[in-house]
Amino acid sequence: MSKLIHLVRRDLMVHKRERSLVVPALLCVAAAIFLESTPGFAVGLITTVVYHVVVYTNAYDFKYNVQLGYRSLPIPRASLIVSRYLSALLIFILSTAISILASAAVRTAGLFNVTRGWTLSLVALAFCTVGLYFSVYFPIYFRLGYMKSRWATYFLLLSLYTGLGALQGLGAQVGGGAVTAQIFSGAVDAPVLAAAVLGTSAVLALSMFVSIKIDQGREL
Amino acid sequence: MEAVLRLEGVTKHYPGFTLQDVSFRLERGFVMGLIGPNGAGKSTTIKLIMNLIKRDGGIIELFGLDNVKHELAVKERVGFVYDTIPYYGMLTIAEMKSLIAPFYRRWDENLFRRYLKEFDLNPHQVIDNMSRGMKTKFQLAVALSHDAELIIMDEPTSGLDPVFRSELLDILYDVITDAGKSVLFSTHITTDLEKIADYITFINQGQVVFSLPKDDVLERYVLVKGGPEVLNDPRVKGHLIGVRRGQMGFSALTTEADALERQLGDAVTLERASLDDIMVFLVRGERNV
Repeated sequence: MSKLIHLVRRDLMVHKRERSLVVPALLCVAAAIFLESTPGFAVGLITTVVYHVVVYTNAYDFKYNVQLGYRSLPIPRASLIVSRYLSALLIFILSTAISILASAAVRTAGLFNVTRGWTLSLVALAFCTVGLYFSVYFPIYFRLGYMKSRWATYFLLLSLYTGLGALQGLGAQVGGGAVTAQIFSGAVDAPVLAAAVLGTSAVLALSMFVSIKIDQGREL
Repeated sequence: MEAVLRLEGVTKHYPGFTLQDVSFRLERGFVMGLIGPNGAGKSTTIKLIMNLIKRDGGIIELFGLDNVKHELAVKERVGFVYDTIPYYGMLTIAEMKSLIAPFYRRWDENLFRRYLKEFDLNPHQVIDNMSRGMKTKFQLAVALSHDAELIIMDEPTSGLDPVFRSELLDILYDVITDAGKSVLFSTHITTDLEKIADYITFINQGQVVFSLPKDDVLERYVLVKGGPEVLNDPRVKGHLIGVRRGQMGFSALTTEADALERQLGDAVTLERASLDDIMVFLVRGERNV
């Protein structure tokens, strides 16, 4: 467990000296502002923040050939994989927290005519979106490596935006009764939210298992 | 004697290259030079030892333990120095150390600080801003600070200037011999090994040509030089390796120095061969075949 904590710490520490965290921080604030008009886009921005940070971490690994060093250390291989999922989860929590704080600040200050804040159902939607995206992202990354997976995962992110836009449009069309409309209005029942979050967690766990299997056959 | 490293019939196939039947052993407290031209299979061998790639066959044991089944236990006892530093360049030495140290049970912080001082490294220096030699020293400090019994070095001196190389080798010689550690030192700069190696394993085209004590290697192979007419003498046939012809005569390697001297007398001159000569002529000999 302590090895996992140190691996997650590493994933955060590599951003210490770079300006790469400026853009994600701005996107978190932007998500708070877009919640008013296009909550689906705000959810997409949170996913983009996690994507940005994870991709930069992987890019640093590639640039400095860090896999060679870390795989030569006494660390279980599975820990190297699991830690990346945990890092993504931690970044999601941090970015959502920043956006919630930004949303509260913007509303208190009366800026940008924002009256809506993050609701539990929107946070759950963001978790499901991030979770499902990275359930696909990581197996592709561990299978193909950083360079070969870049474009595939980028286009995957673009299609996710399209999906979220379609979902939001569908919610607007069918009115207040449908689940999609309820998500964006923040009126989803707790059991539905719990089921969605649990389902996404199960998919993430399965993806982690697949990534570990992929990594077992990987050579440097 | 206890073998800290033992390879037996190790094979690894790639399209266009096969590491075949590689066998050698390194005993505690000795330095082994792993030599061979570029692409001979040295790095592949090291990656196999570190379980960074999977072997297709054979046995690899470190401290009597299989390197795959007991990967973590083995890696606790191994230090590594690669040709390029495999750490985050944007971090300082102290920051990178704080990320590495927790993974070693036997990490000795005082020892690490002592090596930094000895190697003249500033813990607050950013790795990207360090010279190649300093990066190698940092890797060495890490390798020595967790009480590693075997240090594996893959081309640690490549790209370093001769002065720095010499300094690094002196450090290696002092630190490693004093602490009774074993070293596997892969390089194509064989002059580095004349100073510090006890054993030499020569790999060419994926196969071990020999794995012997350095003194035996230098005794076994002798450089022969002579006029062009000597090459027509039937008595030299089969005794010369990797013949290099020039306008004034030839030079070659031989393992039959005494016989050649007896039979040809002054027609040939015999000289001590360096490891570099041995490698060059043996590679040339393989190509001639």
